[in-house]
Amino acid sequence: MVKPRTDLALVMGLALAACVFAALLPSSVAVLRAPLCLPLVLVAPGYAVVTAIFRPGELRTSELLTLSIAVSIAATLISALLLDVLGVALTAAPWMGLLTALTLAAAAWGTAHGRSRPLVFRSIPVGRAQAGALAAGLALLAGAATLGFTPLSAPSGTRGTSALWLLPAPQGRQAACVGVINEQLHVTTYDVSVLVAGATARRFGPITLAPGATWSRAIAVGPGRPVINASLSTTADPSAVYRSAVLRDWNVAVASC
Amino acid sequence: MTLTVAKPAQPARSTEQSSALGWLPWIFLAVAAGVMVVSWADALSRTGHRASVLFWLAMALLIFPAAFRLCSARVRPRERLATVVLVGLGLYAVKVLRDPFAFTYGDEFPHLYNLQTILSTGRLFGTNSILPITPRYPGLETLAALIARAGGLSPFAAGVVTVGAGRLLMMLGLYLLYARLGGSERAAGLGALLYAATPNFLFWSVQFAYESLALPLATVALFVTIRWAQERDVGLRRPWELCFGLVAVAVVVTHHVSSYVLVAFLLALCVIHWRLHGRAGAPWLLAAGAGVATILWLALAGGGTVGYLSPVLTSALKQVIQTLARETPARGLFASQGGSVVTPPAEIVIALSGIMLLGLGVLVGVRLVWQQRWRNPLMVLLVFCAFIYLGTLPLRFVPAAWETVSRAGDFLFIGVGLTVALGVVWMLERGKLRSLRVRLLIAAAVTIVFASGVIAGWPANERLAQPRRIAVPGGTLDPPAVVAADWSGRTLGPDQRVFAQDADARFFLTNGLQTSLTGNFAPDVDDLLDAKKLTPAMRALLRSSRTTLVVSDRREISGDNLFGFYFDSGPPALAPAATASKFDVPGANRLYDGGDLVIYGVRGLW
Repeated sequence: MVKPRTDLALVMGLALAACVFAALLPSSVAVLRAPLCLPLVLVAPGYAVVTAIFRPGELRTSELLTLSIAVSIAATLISALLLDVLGVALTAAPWMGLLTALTLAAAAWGTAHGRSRPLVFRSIPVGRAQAGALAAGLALLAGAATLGFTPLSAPSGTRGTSALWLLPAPQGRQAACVGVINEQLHVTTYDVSVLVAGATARRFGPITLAPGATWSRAIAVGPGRPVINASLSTTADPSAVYRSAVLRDWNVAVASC
Repeated sequence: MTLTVAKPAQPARSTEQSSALGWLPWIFLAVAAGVMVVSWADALSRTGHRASVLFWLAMALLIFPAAFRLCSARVRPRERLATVVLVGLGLYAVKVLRDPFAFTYGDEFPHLYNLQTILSTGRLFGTNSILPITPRYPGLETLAALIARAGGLSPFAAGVVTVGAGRLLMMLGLYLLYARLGGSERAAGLGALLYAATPNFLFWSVQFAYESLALPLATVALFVTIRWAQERDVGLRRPWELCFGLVAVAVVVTHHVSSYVLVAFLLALCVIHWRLHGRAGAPWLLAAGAGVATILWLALAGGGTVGYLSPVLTSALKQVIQTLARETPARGLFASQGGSVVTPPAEIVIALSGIMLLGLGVLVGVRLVWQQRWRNPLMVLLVFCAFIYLGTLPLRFVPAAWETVSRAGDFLFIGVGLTVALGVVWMLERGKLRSLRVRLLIAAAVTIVFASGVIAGWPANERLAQPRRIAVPGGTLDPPAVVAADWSGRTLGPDQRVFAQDADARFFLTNGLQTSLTGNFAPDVDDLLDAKKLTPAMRALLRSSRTTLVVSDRREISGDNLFGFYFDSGPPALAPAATASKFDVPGANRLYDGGDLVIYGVRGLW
């Protein structure tokens, strides 16, 4: 493996690698894709362009970093506008390909004009106490993220609910779909009753659903688009209608149920 | 070229230079501790406990150690810059931890929808029923879309990364701008830290909305302008002109107001330069370039911008006049809209103290600038901005002007940050004031000024996380309105035309991918939803707007696009039952009954 000796060679290598990773790694492995590919979006094009147009030593490192990010963002937006105007869909392949091409072109131009800088890796002396502070800080951040991104139990008094829905079956079938969504904070048992043109057609139950769980059924209702009433009750209070739905004129476009 | 610019600041010689990192590990530890404490406070808040003391402890950990360190003369520039960046990102973490599962700010939903549209269609310039102007300025969503595509991230995660990049850029840009302009790395660090006292900095400016990216880019554009002006050789200016052009285009395609402010800023800079030093050497070229790009975009893509912005501005202006003439009651300070949330007395004291300290800092800074830097056009312009900022504070009494003033503050505070920082550095450099005690006092003052901004910026009960996603046995639950919106998209398909209350409409937009219509203007959805009887005019409205679904949510909080995105804690205040039951008529299908929230299919009512 050839080690890059200049910053622009490194940027070219990273841009190519990011493009390859984006093409090969599936989206489901964001843990790998994000750190490998995001520098191509947020830093590499800008770094290549800025290094190519400024003389070596003209910018401080902080200025180079700032301009790299800003110009990368600008390059991303301008490339998107260009693709959109050309009628090319903004999918990963053409978009990242264009950014990689820009990065490579700018880096090559910069290299040819003597704008690249040798890669120098300096070691930073870190005392034991400083290392401890950094490690403790990282641990605290990890703890904050773990706690922050973990769903916690509901405050006391939080109200759950349940939903009953009723739809015509799609594609003009002589059927209706009825369903229940349990949004209570606990396991709940339901009964569902369906009336077609005023007469009881089906009863379902007991239906026991965990929080967040759903239940649905399709019911044949015969020709003529009759009025359908559905009602939901809970086993805690079976005599009371807890939720109700009505299909009166069937004038509803349904995708799936 | 005579645009006076301070020389690049030189690193201070220091006895602490033996350590390359300086205090950075300890600042990092303090910031991380602040983030941990705020995460703890959010966790308590999400589970129904009060945690405002912890919130303020976290804010102190985030600001005070950094302010104290930045007051020191013996700090390397890199450490100052890293400190500023750490604090900026730490404060961004406060917002991310407040909304860890989904966006919950009213303006974030339309932008998230735009991002979803770009990802699903691969095209820019879609439509948006809640904020129709936003797809015409697609910069933020475009960047987020590529981040989502490249990184394999969800739209929400891509949005968080995008805004984080904006925050990083803001801190870098501010620091470099202040360092070049003020000629002092110390003032640059303190100024960038003081900018965090902008009332919107902690929450509003890092929401997933276009200004969160455009303002940082505009700040970088100003820095580039300074560097351009510093170059005497025309040839050496070319790279800066190219950088400016690219960044200015990015601003223009990202946010209307930011691009107008950038152009106005550059024009003002040219005029001041003309007055002080003559026409030659002013950044006419940059101003013209930004102006042409802005006008071109307005003509080619942003056609509805004027119609979108003018009612807001004219309403604000009208109410200012009415308030001055005492025809309209003044807005109560330290209370939310409608007065439902009142700021605690201790916070009012801190807020007022912070404003007084800020005013004092501006006066000291202005005195210094008057004596030393009055020939520098950009410095003069920033001092004007600082004065204008202080001058706009009374406008917070005017209901319609409050929001405009609040947003203008994000731009004007760039002047406040440097002006105050120069004043602070001047005080610190006076012989008698170099003591440790003075640094401690100034760090405390900076913390109070920051706290004052936080108090002014966001209601007390909205600073910490609310129950947006809760853990239940076997999984998690989202609020009922989210479940209903998801259901609508799954079963009825996208692009239903939905009438809904403000908060619900946003869920139906992003979770159901529906064309959500809300509010009280063209069409008057609120009137239809709040009425107790269904009139023929309402049926005509449903027909003319081709509405297929009506979401009747009796919970009054569903009309609140600040508080309406969470689980209800306790019984909610309800609208009369007739507001919902008026749709139980022939021709309307009661498709979904979730209790307080009912979805009606209303095509039969056309």
